[in-house]
Amino acid sequence: MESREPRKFLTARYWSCRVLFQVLVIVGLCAVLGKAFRLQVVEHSIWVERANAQINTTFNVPAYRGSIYDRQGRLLSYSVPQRSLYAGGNSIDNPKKIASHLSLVLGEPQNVLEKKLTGARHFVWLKRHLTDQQAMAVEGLNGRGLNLVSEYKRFYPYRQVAGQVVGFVGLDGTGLEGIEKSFDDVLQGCTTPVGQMRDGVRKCLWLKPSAPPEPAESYGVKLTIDAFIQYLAECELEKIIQKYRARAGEVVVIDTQTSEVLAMVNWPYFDPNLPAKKDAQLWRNRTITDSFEPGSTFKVFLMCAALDENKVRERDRIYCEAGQCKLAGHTIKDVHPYGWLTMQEVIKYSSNIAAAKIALHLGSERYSKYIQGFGFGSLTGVQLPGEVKGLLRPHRKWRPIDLATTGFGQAIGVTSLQLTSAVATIANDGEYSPPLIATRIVDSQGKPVKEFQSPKLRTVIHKKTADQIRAMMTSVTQEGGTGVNAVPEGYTAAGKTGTAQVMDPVTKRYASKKYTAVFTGYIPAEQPKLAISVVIHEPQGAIYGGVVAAPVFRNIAAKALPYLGVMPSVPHPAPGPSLRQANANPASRDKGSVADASTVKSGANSARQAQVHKAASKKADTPAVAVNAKKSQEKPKTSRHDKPKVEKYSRAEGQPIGLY
Amino acid sequence: MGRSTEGASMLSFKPGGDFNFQEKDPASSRVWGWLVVSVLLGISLVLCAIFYVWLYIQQVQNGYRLAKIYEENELHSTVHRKLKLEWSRFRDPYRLEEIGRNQFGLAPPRPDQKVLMR
Repeated sequence: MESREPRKFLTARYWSCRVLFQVLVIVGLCAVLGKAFRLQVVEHSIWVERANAQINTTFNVPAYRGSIYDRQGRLLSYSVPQRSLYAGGNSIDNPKKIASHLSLVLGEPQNVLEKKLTGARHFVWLKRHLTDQQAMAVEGLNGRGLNLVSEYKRFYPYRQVAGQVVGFVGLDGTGLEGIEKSFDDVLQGCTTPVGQMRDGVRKCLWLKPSAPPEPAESYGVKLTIDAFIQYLAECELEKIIQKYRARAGEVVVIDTQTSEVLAMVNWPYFDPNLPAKKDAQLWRNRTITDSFEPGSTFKVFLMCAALDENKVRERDRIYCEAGQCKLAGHTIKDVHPYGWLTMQEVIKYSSNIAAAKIALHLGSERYSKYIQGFGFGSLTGVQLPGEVKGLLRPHRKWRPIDLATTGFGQAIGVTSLQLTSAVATIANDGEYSPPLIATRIVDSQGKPVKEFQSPKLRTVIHKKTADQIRAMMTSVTQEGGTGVNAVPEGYTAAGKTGTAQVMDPVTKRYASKKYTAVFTGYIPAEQPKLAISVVIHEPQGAIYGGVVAAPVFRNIAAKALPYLGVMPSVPHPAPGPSLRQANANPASRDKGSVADASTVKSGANSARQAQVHKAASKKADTPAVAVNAKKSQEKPKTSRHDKPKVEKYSRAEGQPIGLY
Repeated sequence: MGRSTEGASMLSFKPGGDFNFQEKDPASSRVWGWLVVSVLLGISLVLCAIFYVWLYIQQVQNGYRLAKIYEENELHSTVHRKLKLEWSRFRDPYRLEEIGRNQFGLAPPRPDQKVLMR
C-alpha cells in the first residue's frame, strides 16, 4: 500500500480548499456586483423613482386671491384660509358615534352626517370652511378617517356696502358676479408647487439652498367706489324706500371731473357673506342691468340736441296748448296746463307738449344722433359684468309718436349709470367720458401695477350749449321749479325731475298705479363735483321725482360734499326756531355760552326755506293755474297765457301720457 | 519627510563612550516614514469623514428646523390675515352705527340739539 505523505496530502487539501474558498468569494462578489449592476444600472430609473416618491413631496405655496379695496384703501373683499372637513367613507370606525359628535360641533343634522359617513364614496365633504373653533373641536375628536384641509374663504368685511358691485365668488374661489367676476383673471391666485423632502415618518425637512417661498397674495383691484359715500347713499335711499314703501331703488354717484363712480347703490341690499346667492333679484346690479323709462329727465337731452343744432334758441317760446294737444295722431297732456313757455321754462316746468313739439321739430335722425352721443343705447364700458345697452330703437323705425314721446322720456330705456354719465357730460362742458369703476390694479403691498383712466371720448355738445343747459337745470332746483327739494343747505344744485309710468309686462300697457320717480343732476351748480341720479321704483303715497327722489339727492350731497372737501358756497341762512346759535368766541364759550345759547327765533329765511321745500309737493297737487296766474302778474309782458286762458285743470280728465 | 531621511547615514553619539558610527537601514526608515504618513492621512481622513457626517447631520437638523419655522410662519401669516379681516370688520360703517346706537345710545341729533357755530 502506498503510503501517503501527510505533508503532501495536507498541502493538496489545503490548496483545493483555498481555491474553492476563493472561487466562492469571487462568485459571491460577482453576485453582489451583478446585483449592484442590476440595481444601479438596469433598474436605476425604477429605484430612483421609488426613492423620490418616498422622500420627496410637493406642497403648494398658497397664493391668496387678490383683495378688493375702495378708493381710500378700505378692504371690501379679502381671502382668509379656513379648514374644511372631509371623510374617507370606508375608513370610519363608528359612523353613528362620530356623526353624533360632529353634529354637535358642526351644527348639522346627525342623520345627514351619518349618511355621508356610511356612504360608499371614498371622499366626501362633511363641511366646507369651518370656523377655527369648529376645526379645533374636530381635531379634538381624533376620529379615524376624518381629515381637515386648508381652503380659502372670501370675506366681505363691509357686508352689504357695495355688495352688488363687489359681487362674490363660488366655493372654488372663482368670481361669479360683480368685480369678482370681471377682474377674475387679475384676482385669481395661482398656487406654486414646490418640492420638499420628508423622512420615513413623513416629517418634512427643507434641504434646498434657497429659502422656502412665502405665501403671496395675487394682484388686487382698487375701486373708484368710496365706501363712506356708498354707505351714506345706501342709508338715504333706504329711508326713502321705507317711507314710500317702494319696490326698489338705485343711486349712482359720479365724480364729474374724473368720471369715477363713487357710489353705485341698489336696494334691496345684498350681503355677499350670506349664502343667499341664488336669488338673482338680490345680487343683480340694477344700475347697469335694468333699464327704465327716464321720464322727464330726458327732456334735458332733447333740449341739448335742439339748442346745439340751432333748432331752437334759449329765448324762443313755445306754446303748450293749455295742457293738452293732439300730436302725431295721439293726445299728449301736461300735468299742469301752460300757455307760452321759454326754453328754460320748458325744462323748469317740465312740459311734455313742448318737449314733443321740439322733438318733432328736431327730427328723429338728429335727435337719435345726440341720444347716442350721450351714451344711451350702448354700453358704457364700465368694468362690470351684465351691463345692458338700454332700449333704443333705430331712428328709422321711429314713428312720429315715438319721436314725440321720446322727447319726454318714453319709448326709450336707459340705465341709471347711463343717465348719470350723460348728466356728468353736461356738467363737463359736453365732453363725454365713460364711467370708471376700477382705478388701478395693485400688488400685495399696495403698489400700483396698472392704472385706469377715463379718456374724453367725444364732444357731444358745444360748451355754449352746455352752459345754457346748465342754467336751465339750475332753474329746476330754484323756487317754482320741480326740483326744489334737491338743494342742500348752503349749496346750489342743478338737475331734472322725472316721473315715468311703468309698463305692465302682462298687459303691455302702462300700469295705472305704477311709477318710477327719478331725479338726476349735479352739484354744486357753479363748479360741478358730483353727478347723482336717484331712481325709485314704484313708490306708494307719492310718485313724483321731485318729491320722492330729490330729497335723496339732497341728503346724499349734503353729507358727501363736505366729506370731499367742497364747502358750502351759499351764505348760511339764519337758524330756524329749534337751532341754537353759539358764539364761536372762545372766551365767551368758556363762560358757558354754548350750553346757555338762547334759541333764535325763526327768521324770514327759514320760513322761505320751508316754503321752498314744500313747493314741489304742493305743485304736484295744486292746480297750476294759481301758480301761472301769480307768474303772469310778476311778468305781464312774458305771460305764458297769451292764448287761451285755462280756468282749471282736472286730473280726472284722463291719464296723461307723460308726467314730470 | 521621506526625502530627508532617504540615503542618509545616522551618526549616534553615546555619552561616555566612543564615537559609534551606526548606519541605519534605509528601507526600515522608509517604511517608518510611510507608516507615519499613512497614519496621519488616515486620521485626517477619519476626521474629515466625521466632520462631513457632522455637517450632514447639521444640515438635516437645520432642514427640519427650517421646515418647522416655515410652518410657523404660514400659521402666523394666517393669523395676521384673520386679524386684518377683523380690523376691517370693525370699520364697517353699519357695524359702527349699530355699536353706537345699541351700546352707547348714540343717535343723530334732533334739531333742538344742534348748535350753530358762528
